[in-house]
Formats: sequence, structure tokens, C-alpha cells
Amino acid sequence: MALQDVSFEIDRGQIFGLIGPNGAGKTTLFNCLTGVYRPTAGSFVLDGKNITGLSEVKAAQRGIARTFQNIRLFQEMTALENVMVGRHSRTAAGLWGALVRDKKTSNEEREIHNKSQQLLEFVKLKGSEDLLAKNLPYGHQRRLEIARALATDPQLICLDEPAAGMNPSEVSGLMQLIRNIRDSGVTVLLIEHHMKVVMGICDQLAVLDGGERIAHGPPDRIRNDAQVIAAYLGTQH
Amino acid sequence: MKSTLKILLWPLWIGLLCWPFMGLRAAGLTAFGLLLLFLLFRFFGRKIGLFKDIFLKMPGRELAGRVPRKIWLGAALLAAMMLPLVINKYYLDITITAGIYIVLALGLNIIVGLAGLLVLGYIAFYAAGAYAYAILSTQYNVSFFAALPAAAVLALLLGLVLGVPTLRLRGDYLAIVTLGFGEIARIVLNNWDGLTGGPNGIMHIPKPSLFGLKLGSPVHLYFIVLAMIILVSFVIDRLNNSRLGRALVAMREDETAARACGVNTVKLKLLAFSLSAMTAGMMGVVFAAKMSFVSPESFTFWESIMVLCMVVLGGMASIPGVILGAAALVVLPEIFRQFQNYRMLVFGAAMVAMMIFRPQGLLPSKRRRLELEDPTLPPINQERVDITFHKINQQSKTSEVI
Repeated sequence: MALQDVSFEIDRGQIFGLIGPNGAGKTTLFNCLTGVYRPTAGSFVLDGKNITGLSEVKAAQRGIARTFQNIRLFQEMTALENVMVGRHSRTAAGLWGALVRDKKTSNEEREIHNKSQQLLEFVKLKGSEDLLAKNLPYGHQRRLEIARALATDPQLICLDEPAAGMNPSEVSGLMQLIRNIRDSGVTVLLIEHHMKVVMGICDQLAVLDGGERIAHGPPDRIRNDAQVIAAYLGTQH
Repeated sequence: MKSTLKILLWPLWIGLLCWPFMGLRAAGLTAFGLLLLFLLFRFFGRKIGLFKDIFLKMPGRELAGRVPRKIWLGAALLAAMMLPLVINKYYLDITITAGIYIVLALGLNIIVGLAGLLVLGYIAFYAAGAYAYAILSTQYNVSFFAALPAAAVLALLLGLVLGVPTLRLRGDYLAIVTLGFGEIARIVLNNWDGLTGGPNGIMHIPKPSLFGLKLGSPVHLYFIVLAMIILVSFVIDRLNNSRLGRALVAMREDETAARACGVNTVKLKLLAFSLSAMTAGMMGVVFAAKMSFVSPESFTFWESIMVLCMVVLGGMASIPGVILGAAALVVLPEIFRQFQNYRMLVFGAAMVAMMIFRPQGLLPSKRRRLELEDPTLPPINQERVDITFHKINQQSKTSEVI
């Protein structure tokens, strides 16, 4: 049992941070939410609708997007193509459309292309459209993954340690990007170890330890919570 | 240093291969000759950049890039239409065989090149198509053009039969399961005497005809095959540049990430399986009509491997590459026929050399080319280096040759 008695609410348009020591169950929670794992008990409710146990594909269609802790880009596709794949769940062209290439299909292609370009611009990757994803510098790869997730038109975007491995200037760029995402109306669920990021941008925080929620509230309160300090630093004997 | 060692080891290796059937003396001479050749090549190659030009850039790429694609395609089509006028019957026969393999390779390319699923029993679909026409035509008088869709449907069903249970498999495991499938198909054909005639096969399969018009001559067959090549190339090209094509490649690159983007990988795999299988099924009909005889011997594991080699040699996911690869693997052994025993040796050595010097294939797809264009560039995956970044940026602007 990796998770038990974890419950919290995320308000629309918030940046909600999920923190906790390694092995606390943060990524497991993400995997349950995005359909990689099926939870044995409990439920997720999005916008009043129960979304527990959806498949990954259905979860994406319902508006839950995610990035991965270890970057999972389509390495041998260009940056632009990566984002274009993200549009998959919001477009419909099938085999027939691909073969006949009718007006509807080409309009849709144009829409995919334009939207993807805009998203690349949004994450400040303009100019890298035609580079293979694997040839991008590390920080750019992280941002590309976020652009791909945004391409699915999510209501909720789940970012799994986006600041991992970034240098200080990249981190501050990322913080601004996450704020911009929130301001565009997408709710952000953020797993992060980088305390500057967590304390700097999150509106609310939940702290997990050993699969349980041990604290919940705004960053200032969490910072001084005895249980949280104990989980991170150990208790005094 | 490493490349010097390579140059010494290569001739030695080929010499060792030649030893058993050429004798020590001749093998030694061959190795020495090769060594000289390599050294010369290296010396001059380095001086004038010849080496790089041959192995990293196809000759004429610059020029080819400037001519619009439509003109290229038109010229190729015209040349293909004129071909039967200028070659003799023997070469026409080889060309038809090459054409059949081209379509097979293009079909396999959908599943291996685009979807990235290693399938080793591909020839079973081809066999299904061939036997479908053989049985339908000899026993039920079904015509060639009616058998084409029938065989396609049969192969599609077989594709689904193979596809559904293997949805969760990838890589080695999928390869083994499909290998087994191919063998089962062959063994069934060999033993189901009542339907397939067992090892004796089925004879007297009629040639194609349309509204009483006989289309049985090699020239007619040539044009039927050419039409199939055009049709299948068109389908793959359109598919490749579409939403589904992107999703296929995404699935090849990272299945989990593709699903997180909302790509239904189950549907896509089945689509790839069925398109591949249908192509092979239709070509089976053409094959049966061409040979007017089918037997299980034509559908061995070796055939599956050959078609796979064509895809890999030509360049995965690249239509011109796969066409060139298939043509090369059919035509070259015919040309080398006079070397008899050495034929397969040269063939094998050429394959090994190809994989070492040009792993992306003869005419790689645009993506592969970007990936392997300049092996001297360090991977910048985990480093944050912005200098090399610009260098790649310029490279990616090289025009596409198709």
C-alpha cells in the first residue's frame, strides 16, 4: 500500500504543491491520477465528476496532462512534432482523412501546427522547432515536455519535478513559466523538491510522508509545521 | 588510433571468412589486397574529404534538394513506365520480382519503421494472400481482381489475430511471438493437404484477366506491380505526414508518453498491423498469379528476414530508402550470379559493412538523418552546452531529398 488516507482539494486556477521526502508516494499519486495505475480505493473528482480509474488516454481527454520525472520526450521527433503529438486527443483526423486529405483534415492540420507554434513560443522555445528533442539542452527538454502537456488543452497539469537538474537561472525562468500557466487558466499540480520553487510559487501545499498526508495549507504555515520539519529532518531524541 | 585498428582488423576478418573455401594463400592475398585498398582510400579520402562525401553525404544531394519533389516523382514514374521497352524478358522478370519485394518491404515498413514493432513472421500474410488466390481461382473461379480485396481482408483478419494477443509485447518478445506465427503458418500450409495440397503446393493458377481481357504477359504484370508500388507509397506517404503518422512515430519513441498525450496505442498498433498485413496479402495474390504455382517453400523464415533486411538496409521509415533497399537486395544477387560461391559472401560482407558505415540506411528518413548526420557532434542530452546547439541548428536546415 503506497498511499493511504491522502485527501486534498485543489481550487481552480491554483498552483498546488505536493511535497514530501523521497518515497513518500508523490509520483504514485500522479500515476493514479493520470491513469497509469488504478487505485484500489478512494476517488478523484474533477469538476464534480468522478474520474477515478480512467485509462491514461481517457484521463488526457478529460483534461489531465502530465510531465514525467525522468523526461520522456519523443527523442527522434522534432520539438514542434513533439508538441503536435500533444494535440492528438483534441483532434480527430483518421485514416481516411490522412489519405484523402480533405479540407477538414488540412484545416485541422493547420490548427495543430499553429497551436503548437504558439505553445513553443509560450515556453520560450521559438527557434528550436526543427531540432530533434534529444538534441535540446536539458532545461529546454523540460520546457518542451511542458509545452507538449499543455497541447492537450488540460484543465489540470501535473508537473513531476520540473526543476530537477536545472541551474538557478533556468529555475527562475521555470517559476515564471509556471505562473504564466496558472494565469492562462490552467490549474497546476506540482511535485517538487526545490524549496525555492515550492515556497515561491505555490498557493497551497500538501505534504506527504510514507503514503500519508501529514500537512496541508499555505506555504507559510507548512514552513513552520512541526510534523513537516520532523519528516524532512528527523525528530529529536 | 581506433580507426587505424579498424582498418587492420577488417581485412583480417574478411580473410578469415574466405579461408575455408579459398585456401590460406588466396585468403591471405585477399586480406592484403583489401588492406592496401583501405589504406589508399584512407589516405586519399582524408585529403580530399572523399570518405566523408561517400559515406555521410549521398552524391548529388545538394543538386537533388533544389529540384522540386513533383518533378522527381514524375521523372521516376516516366522512367518506370518506359522500363519494359528497354530491358529483355529475363530482366523484366527480375524487375517484377523486385517490384513485389518493394511493396512487401513498404508494407513491413509501416509496422517496423513507423510503429517500431519488430515483426519477424511477416511472410505469413504474404502466404495467406498467395494461397487465398490459389484456392479461390482454381476451385471457385474467382478472378484476380476480385481476389485482391478478398486476400486483403483475409490478411487483415490474420493481422488482427496476431495483433490482439501481442498488444502488450515489445521488442524481443514480439519478435519471438511473430517468428512463431510465421512458422506456424508455413507448417499449416505444409500439412493441410486437403486445402493447400501440402508440400506439392497448388498448380495451374490462372493469370490475371479483366473483363475477358487477358493480362497475363510479364509486361502486364509489371504494370500491375508498378500500380501497387504507387498505391502503397502514396498511402504510406500520406499516413506519415498526418496526425496518425505522428502518433505512430510517437508510440515508437515512447509508448507511455504517447498515451499520456491521449494517443490510443491499442488502436494504433492494430491499425499498423492491419495495414501491413493487407499490403502483404495483396502482394501474395500478385505473386501467385506471376508464378502460377504456390508451395510452402516460397514462404520460409528466410523470406521474412530478407524483407526486414530490405527495410533496414534502405532506411527505416523512408519510402525511397525502402524501395532502393528492396531493389538492391533482389537485383544485386542476380548481377553477382557469375561469382557463384562468392555471391552470398559478398552479400553478407556488404550488409555488415553497411551497418557499420551507414547504420541509418541508404536513403534514411528525414528524422534519422537529423539523428545520424554528424557523428562527430557530442550528445548534448545531459549537458547544458549552448555552443553546439547552434551548430545543429544550421544543420537541420539541409533540404529534404525525397
